[in-house]
Amino acid sequence: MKPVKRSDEKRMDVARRYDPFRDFFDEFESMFEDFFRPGLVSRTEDSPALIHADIGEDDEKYMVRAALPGMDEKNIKVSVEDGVLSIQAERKEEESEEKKGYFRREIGYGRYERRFRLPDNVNLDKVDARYKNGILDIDLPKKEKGMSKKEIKVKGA
Amino acid sequence: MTVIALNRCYPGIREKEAEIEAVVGQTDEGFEVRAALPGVDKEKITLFVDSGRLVIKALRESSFAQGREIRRELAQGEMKKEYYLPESVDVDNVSARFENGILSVRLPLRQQSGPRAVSIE
Repeated sequence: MKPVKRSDEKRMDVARRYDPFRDFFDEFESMFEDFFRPGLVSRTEDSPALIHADIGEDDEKYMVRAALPGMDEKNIKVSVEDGVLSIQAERKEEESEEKKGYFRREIGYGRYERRFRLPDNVNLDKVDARYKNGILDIDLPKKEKGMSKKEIKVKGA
Repeated sequence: MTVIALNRCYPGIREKEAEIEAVVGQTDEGFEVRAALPGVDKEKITLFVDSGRLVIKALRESSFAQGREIRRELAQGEMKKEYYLPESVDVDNVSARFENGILSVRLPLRQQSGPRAVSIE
């Protein structure tokens, strides 16, 4: 999906102004910018295409809604490592679609990736992901207040 | 196999509607348009075929029914894609299917009949 239309740029700015993901997120993203190319059509076979996503939050959780049209959920991988949420997806060749090979190539046959650096208050044990209607929904519950706090006992010599 | 970018021929898309990302390919029976509409309800998609035109319109709601949005990358609101159709498309037999966020529109060609003798009254 095209991330922003010209007419959406203003709204996008407003949405970005209070973006707690932004600092983590953009720093990380720029590291990958050279490898990921947005746009489904113009990329080369080897480099994964960028997955686009909306991010939201409420009191209990952060929500990532990633666009992955026409996928099989078996071919979507979600993982968290060192505070980075990683989404990887692959559209695989299927025999029944052989006659439509040109579509696969055009609408994005191949690999897709996206990584987000997560805020510290995500409870990683309760991350939940579902795929429906071309959208990958990832819910990232926030830690309850106090959960990330731990007192360390000071021992004597 | 040929992929025909009919969309490039059509400059008349209004700015305020996001353009639906779609590809056109050739099949044994004619053409097929595949449009990416992830997260759109089937009820919010309308498809028109009239003389020489195919119009796909869709409305995509916010990703978040509750809570607040902190970053937006996906198109929202009205989306549209419009194609001029070749005369050879059999507009009475256009069919469409929506699955996993992909709308597939099949545009079969009219059966080619050879020259036909016309009787003179």
